[in-house]
Amino acid sequence: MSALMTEAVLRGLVLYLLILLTMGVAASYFARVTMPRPPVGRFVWTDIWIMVVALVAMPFAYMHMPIGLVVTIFGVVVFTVSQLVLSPVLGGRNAALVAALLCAADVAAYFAQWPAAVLVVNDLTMILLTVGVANMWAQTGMRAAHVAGLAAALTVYDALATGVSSLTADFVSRVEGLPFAPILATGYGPVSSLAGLGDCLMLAVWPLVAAKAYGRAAGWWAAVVEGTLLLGLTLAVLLTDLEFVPLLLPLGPLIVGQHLFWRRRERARALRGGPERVELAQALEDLPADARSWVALHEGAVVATGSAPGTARRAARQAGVTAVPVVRGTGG
Amino acid sequence: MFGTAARQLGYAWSMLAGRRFRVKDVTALVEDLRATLEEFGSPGEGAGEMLTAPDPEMQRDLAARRLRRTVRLTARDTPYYRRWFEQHGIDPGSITLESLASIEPTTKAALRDLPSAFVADGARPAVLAQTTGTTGVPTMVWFSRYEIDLMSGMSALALMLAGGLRSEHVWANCITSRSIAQILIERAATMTGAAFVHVGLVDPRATLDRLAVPLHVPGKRPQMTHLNTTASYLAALVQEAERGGWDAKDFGLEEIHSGGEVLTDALKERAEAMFGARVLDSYSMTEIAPVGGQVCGQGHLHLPTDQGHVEVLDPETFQPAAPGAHGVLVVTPYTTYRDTTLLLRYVTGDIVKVLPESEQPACELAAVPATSRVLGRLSPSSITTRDVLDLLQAEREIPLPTRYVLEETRSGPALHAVAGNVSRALVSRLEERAADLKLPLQGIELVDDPAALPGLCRVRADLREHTFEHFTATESARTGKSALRAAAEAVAEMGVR
Repeated sequence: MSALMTEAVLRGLVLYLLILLTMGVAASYFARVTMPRPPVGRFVWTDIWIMVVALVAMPFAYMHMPIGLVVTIFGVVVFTVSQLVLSPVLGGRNAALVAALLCAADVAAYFAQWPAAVLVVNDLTMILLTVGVANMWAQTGMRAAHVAGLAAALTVYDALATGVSSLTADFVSRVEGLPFAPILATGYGPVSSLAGLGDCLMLAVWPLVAAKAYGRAAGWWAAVVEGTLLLGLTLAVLLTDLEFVPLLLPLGPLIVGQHLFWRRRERARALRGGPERVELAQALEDLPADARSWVALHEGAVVATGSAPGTARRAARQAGVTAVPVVRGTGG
Repeated sequence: MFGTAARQLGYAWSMLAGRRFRVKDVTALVEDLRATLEEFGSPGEGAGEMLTAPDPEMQRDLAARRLRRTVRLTARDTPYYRRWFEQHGIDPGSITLESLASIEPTTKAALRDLPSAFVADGARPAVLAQTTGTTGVPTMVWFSRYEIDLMSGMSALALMLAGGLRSEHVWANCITSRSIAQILIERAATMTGAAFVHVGLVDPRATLDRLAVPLHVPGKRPQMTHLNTTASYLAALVQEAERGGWDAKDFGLEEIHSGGEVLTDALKERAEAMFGARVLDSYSMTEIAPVGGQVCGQGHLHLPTDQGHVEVLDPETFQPAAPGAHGVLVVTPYTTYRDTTLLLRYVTGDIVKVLPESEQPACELAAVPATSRVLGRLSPSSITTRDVLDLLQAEREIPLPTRYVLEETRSGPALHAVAGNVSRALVSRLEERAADLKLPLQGIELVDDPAALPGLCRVRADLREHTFEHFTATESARTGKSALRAAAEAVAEMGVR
């Protein structure tokens, strides 16, 4: 194995581990930290459509903007989100200070022409950005259906921008090595090994939202599926001459598929009904008609009667039933 | 999130500019808040500021601007005030907070005599609400769809943010169907996602039965959780529940909202014990909607200044009442919220006491201006409704709702009250307590029949609606062992396990 190949394998595996680390930090942050949220409002479909339009339009816009402006926009986003994600942990002032230092370090490393430092600091900011945005989405009420919808839209976009056209490649070649470049990388140039911010976000957010919507098992399954997919793709890239892989092409359908699977399970569970609904069904059993009589039923048994629904409920309480019984008339 | 932010900006702009709200923005904001609460259980930080501007300086500035605009529009658009300003040669544009007193207060009689003279020229009247008219003929007040929609939306925001109403709750209304509150609460409660039941002012036995009945519908608590009623009807419910052997465990009530009448501490405590729910006292009135107040934990009535200008004036001279003195609430609802029946300095007739300088609130609502609780009406001998109710309702032998007449005699006021069992001992206790309370009563006479009172005693609980339900005298008392035995026999007869 050539030295170049060895370095590529090493960089690929480190990138794989970095992405797993990002997902882990996002999940850990989600479990422990509550981000500030606006007084009113939660994630809705309109937000998804606005994001899709922005995500699709931005690379085109960035390709035609002066590079200084592109870096400034990314810098503002990185500072804002870093400050937001750190403030529940460090406090508002310290968070702003750390975010500012991080941004300053990224810019300073670039002007000092220390590519390794740019790489490290930039990766740090990208991890923070991914953790922050993924948590912001998940904690402001992004639902599993929203992630699935976003994944579906981005699958199409990624297939076209990365698989069919050279848009992603052109964009990456324009921004790699710059401060705040929206890529998580373990190398630039001929031995580049990187993942886009969008890919990282989808990888980080889905386990969080799946866990919130469908329970911990769904969250773990999402993480395992993603980890396996990533490993497969990393090996594929290392063992073949693939340059850019549209990650969302397989990831998007996998997210949609998991969402549909868990949703179906949830619906089936809901259809089976809670205990209250079961008790209502039992209360429909035939009872002998009794003029102006109401009965209170608990666990399928008549526990009291009354001349009105409320009095039957009261009689049930007097009979020692602490739960709220089902009260029905007897058709009299 | 993006849409919500835009709507919040629009809402804040209307609040600050004092101009008309975009009702669809308010409605959408209510929907956003409901969704937020369903998702997270509580609003985010700073949500309370949606209801009122947090800075007192800003509040004063807003109030001044809203008042100027209200006076200008009301003088321009309503026949009553147009004529009044012309007759008195006052330029409405010159009126400020400081010179507001130059406008003559508007009496209830003026509004009752010709309600249409207070309706703005360009108004689009949609709902004619009526006051209960316990003092005589009801007063008619027109409202537009804008007012109804806006006030419902704002009530829904307040119910969710300040009242803690959530979509799993079930709200029961026992107030007159003719008031604006009925329309507003029905709409507001359902906008929050909560369920609404108009129980009405029916036989208290029927209401207790409704409150106890298990509901078992998806997403809702198994029994009614909130009750909105007047103090006298609450009193009737308490009396009937105590007599009928009901227990707090029979109900699922969490909050009881009492308004429209004087709620005494004695009745509040009795109701809380009977129903196992917190009783909240509030103040509102059809004519001055949406202006209203809430009684805090320290027993002050807090009247927010966002929706109208509130003055406390001497009931005789209409000059500002001094600290510690009785005063009548005089309210000017702002045209930001009202565009149909416009009122300037409306004399509500409700007496309060201006808080003495030594009694400044330090409660959860301390930032909101406060007075004493509403004291009701003031007799010529300076005895208030609350004075009498405090005296009578402390005595459990006096049946609820309390019925009395204060008769002014040459020697002074004489109190005539209805008692269940008239006894000398009861009269003596009342006389002793009246002396302790320093009430200048010249005598107390108890009667066992309301018809024996020397005058009419009307309470809102008398605005009774009828049902076809049949309640016998023994039915509500069928409790205890006999009821259990009857239940057991019935079960055995039915042959059901």
